[in-house]
Amino acid sequence: MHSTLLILATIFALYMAWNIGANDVANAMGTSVGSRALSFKQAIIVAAIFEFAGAVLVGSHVTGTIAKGIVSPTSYAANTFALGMVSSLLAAAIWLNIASRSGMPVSTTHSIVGAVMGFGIVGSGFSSIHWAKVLQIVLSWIISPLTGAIIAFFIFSFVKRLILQVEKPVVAAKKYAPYLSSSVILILSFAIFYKGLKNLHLCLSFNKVLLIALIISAITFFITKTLTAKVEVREVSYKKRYPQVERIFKGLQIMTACSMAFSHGANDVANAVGPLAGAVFAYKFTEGVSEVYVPVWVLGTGALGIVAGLATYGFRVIIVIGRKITGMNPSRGFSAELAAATTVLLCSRLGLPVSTTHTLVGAVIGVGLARGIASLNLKVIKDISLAWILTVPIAMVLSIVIYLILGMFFR
Amino acid sequence: MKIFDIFRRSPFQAMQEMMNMAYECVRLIPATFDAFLSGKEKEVQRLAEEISHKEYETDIIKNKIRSSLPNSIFMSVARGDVLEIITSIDAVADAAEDVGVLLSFKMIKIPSELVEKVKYFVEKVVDVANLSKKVVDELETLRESSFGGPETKHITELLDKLNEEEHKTDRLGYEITKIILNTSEKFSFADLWLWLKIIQATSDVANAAEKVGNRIRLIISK
Repeated sequence: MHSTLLILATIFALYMAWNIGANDVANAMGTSVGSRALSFKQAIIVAAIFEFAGAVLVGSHVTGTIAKGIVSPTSYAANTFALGMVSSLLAAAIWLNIASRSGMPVSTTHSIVGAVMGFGIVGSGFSSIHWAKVLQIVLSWIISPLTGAIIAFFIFSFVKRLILQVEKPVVAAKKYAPYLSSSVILILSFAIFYKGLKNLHLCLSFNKVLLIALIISAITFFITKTLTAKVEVREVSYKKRYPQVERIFKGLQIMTACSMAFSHGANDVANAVGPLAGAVFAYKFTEGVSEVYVPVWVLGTGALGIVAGLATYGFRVIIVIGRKITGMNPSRGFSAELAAATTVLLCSRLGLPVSTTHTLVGAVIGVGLARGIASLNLKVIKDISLAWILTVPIAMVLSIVIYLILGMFFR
Repeated sequence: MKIFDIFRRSPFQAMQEMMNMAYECVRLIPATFDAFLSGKEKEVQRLAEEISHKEYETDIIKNKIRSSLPNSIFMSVARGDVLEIITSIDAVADAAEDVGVLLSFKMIKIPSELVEKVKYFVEKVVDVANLSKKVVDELETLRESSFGGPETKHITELLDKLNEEEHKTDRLGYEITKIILNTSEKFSFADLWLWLKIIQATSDVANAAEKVGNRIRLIISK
């Protein structure tokens, strides 16, 4: 029974990861494809590599939260907890499948958190849920889009004031591009190396990480400098300057696209493998292992599932979304993605499962508030909020029902 | 509804399209005047008809823009400003249509010393409309720079020129009106009324075109 449940958990985790790859990755890559910074093919390659890396390297923090932060595995019999995790996975995956079929913008994160809470309630009542942690998670769902919006507003305002609105925007773009690219790389490499390599048994001290990150970003600075030096500044009519500036931003946006995929992998892989890790931990705990750690094979399973979902179905969603976005160009996409990726990475480091998609939408609105986007349709925000409010209770109820049904077979 | 439906099409392209159509109306005015001044009634009728048709097409674009600007929109330019601009563009086309219709009511003779003055006046009015079309064409570039920087300087220069030219057309209109009134004994009552109406309507084209520019000035100065 022990191994049956683990196998079931692995299968459902793969199904859930497939769902994430099929639908959610497209949201993370949409702005890059929409601004033509990446072609469809390039977007898929970038997504595959960086989603995998993010999931395996930084995915463990959030995975830990979902595995044991919401409902404590130690207060259940191992089998009960494993069963609960299996039900949560199935419930969240089914709801995601239904929602994405009907085109509802739901969050994978919200689904899985709702589902795990559902199991917690039916498993041993309201008291078994760590309400403080749940409150923290729910607050992060409100705070992360807001943070994304605020950071994006300031990044785009900065880009606007220093590059787009000066007498010679191409010269300014060449001047500031190295700073922008090196700060992107600084954030990204910091996220990778700071405790990220724990899974590879490479634990570096804070100072060492800072040094490595600084060196890498310094290298990036000079590479960008030599690359942009090749862009010649021609005296063109002022209408033709912007395409030149945007070409420089295209290069920068490729970097933020990688960060976006990386942070999406880091945060969202947990939605699939968190419960699996929980089930594994429940059995390990009965064997006397009390130290909580997320096995690499668990993260790898999730990462594989995401890439498979992307390869089999997600690419189509990316194409659809990429064609639809017409109001995006590289300078806007860069600002939105840098803000969103930074916010999500920060939340991942804190072990908070946030919605990458919602954070990105928040960031896009931030750029819009800085008068960067011709027009935005705020009706989408209404729809997102509605789906947001619906997702948690629906996933909860689904998870309870599935738990009760599966309970008949496995008890 | 997907997440990225949050992006709407830029309203500026549609505004450009509308302004181009309104300018098409204005561009036909000199030919109509020429036909009118040389007494070709058929030709005047045909041109007036054509202006009317183009005015109708401008209206269609206007309605399209209005219906695609729902309440929930969030734009780099306030919704009210967009509506004001399209209303002003609409006024340009309307005024042009009025000129065509007034010219087609009745063929009248005018003193030969006025012919050149009227032709020059009409030419200047078309210039004003052309300038405001140029300003509208810059909106998309202006969006790229998020409504600031050297682009705004360029547009402000265009707008200053627009105001200046419009002022000139006003002066020309007054001058012609003055001459007509001072030689009123040469006209019948109906002719006199029609002439004053025509001059007024032609001035209105320039006025409306200037208004388009002024609305855009408000957007940049924010």
